[in-house]
Amino acid sequence: MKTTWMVVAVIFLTGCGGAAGLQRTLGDHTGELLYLHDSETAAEKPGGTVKIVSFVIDDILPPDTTVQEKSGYFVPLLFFNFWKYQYECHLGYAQIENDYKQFVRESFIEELERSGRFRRVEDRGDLELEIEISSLSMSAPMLKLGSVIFLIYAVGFNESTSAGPVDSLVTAKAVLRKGGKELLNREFQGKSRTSVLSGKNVKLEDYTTTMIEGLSLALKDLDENIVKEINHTQ
Amino acid sequence: MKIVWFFPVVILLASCSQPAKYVIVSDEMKALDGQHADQRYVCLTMDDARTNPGILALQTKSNVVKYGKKRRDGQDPIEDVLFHLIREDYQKAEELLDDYGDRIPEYLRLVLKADLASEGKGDPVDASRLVKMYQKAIDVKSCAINSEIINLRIRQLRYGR
Repeated sequence: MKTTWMVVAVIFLTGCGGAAGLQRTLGDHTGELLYLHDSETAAEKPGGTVKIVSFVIDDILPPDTTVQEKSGYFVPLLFFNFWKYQYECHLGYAQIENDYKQFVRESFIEELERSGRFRRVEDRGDLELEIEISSLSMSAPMLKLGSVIFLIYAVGFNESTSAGPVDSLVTAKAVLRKGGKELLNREFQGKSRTSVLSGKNVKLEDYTTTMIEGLSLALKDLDENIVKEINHTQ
Repeated sequence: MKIVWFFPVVILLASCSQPAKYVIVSDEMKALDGQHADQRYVCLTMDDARTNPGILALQTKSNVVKYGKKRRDGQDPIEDVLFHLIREDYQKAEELLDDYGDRIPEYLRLVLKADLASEGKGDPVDASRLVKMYQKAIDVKSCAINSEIINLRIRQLRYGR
């Protein structure tokens, strides 16, 4: 009788740790988009002046962080039970403490002023730049494995979680004009891959931080790629 | 009786080999290797590292204690501040950093200010302010190893380590 209740309890507990439980855990934590600008500084600005004519950021993030169950099973064999669940997490802007659109804009301007070979101006510039941040694709998988063995006088329980790596890809379109003539018109990408959180004592709330870290580093890569290309175009 | 001695010896040995929280390296290094997740690094220029060779080799807490017995304050400003940093006496390190002022080179002063602000026991400084402090430090000394060290520190700040 006791064993039956224990099996029921395990099934119940496993259910609690499902997509909804994970979503609550990730949704309870927040972090800031931030990164270190460590590209080579262009001390001299021989390329003239540049004006950012427009900087459009589409709604690349949904409001809330969600967790979706991709696949999973629970095998109750009375004395030996095991389960495996795969989830996919989606970062929402509710988890980001700073205004993400403002961060995207300001971090690009900072990179442009740092490593760009031209001086940024607010009014008329030799060059005119239009940027549109169009999409973010993020793969943030999570895997939960576990088993329970009921012996006559003992119970063995094992569960492990692995989260990551988080692969982020931000795409943007950049158009550079000089005197109305297009010098550059193409799509750019910024990529990042974070490390994996794994083990028995993994802190799942850290996964929110990992997703925010992934997005920060992808934006860093994007900013550097655009500025490098503009430097070469001149 | 033997067993009574056994456990304190094991505990003592374990504490001796504990890694020091702060490790001082020279910018001659190409990359950090074998770092502990919670360990912080401070990078010295080649010249400053040559002036203070003793402080560079201190990888474990027991080494720091041994080194502390042989030294005294007032010999070299950089060595003084770094010694109190690696023995985790942040208040003393901060006092010395303020007292020495310009005798500590700017590249080091900026990074130490940021490190000490992040270790402060008062109100926690928010991550974006610390990143701005580290940004100033990297702008003054932007070698590859310093960049790796500061990026690692930012990662630790993200995860609250």
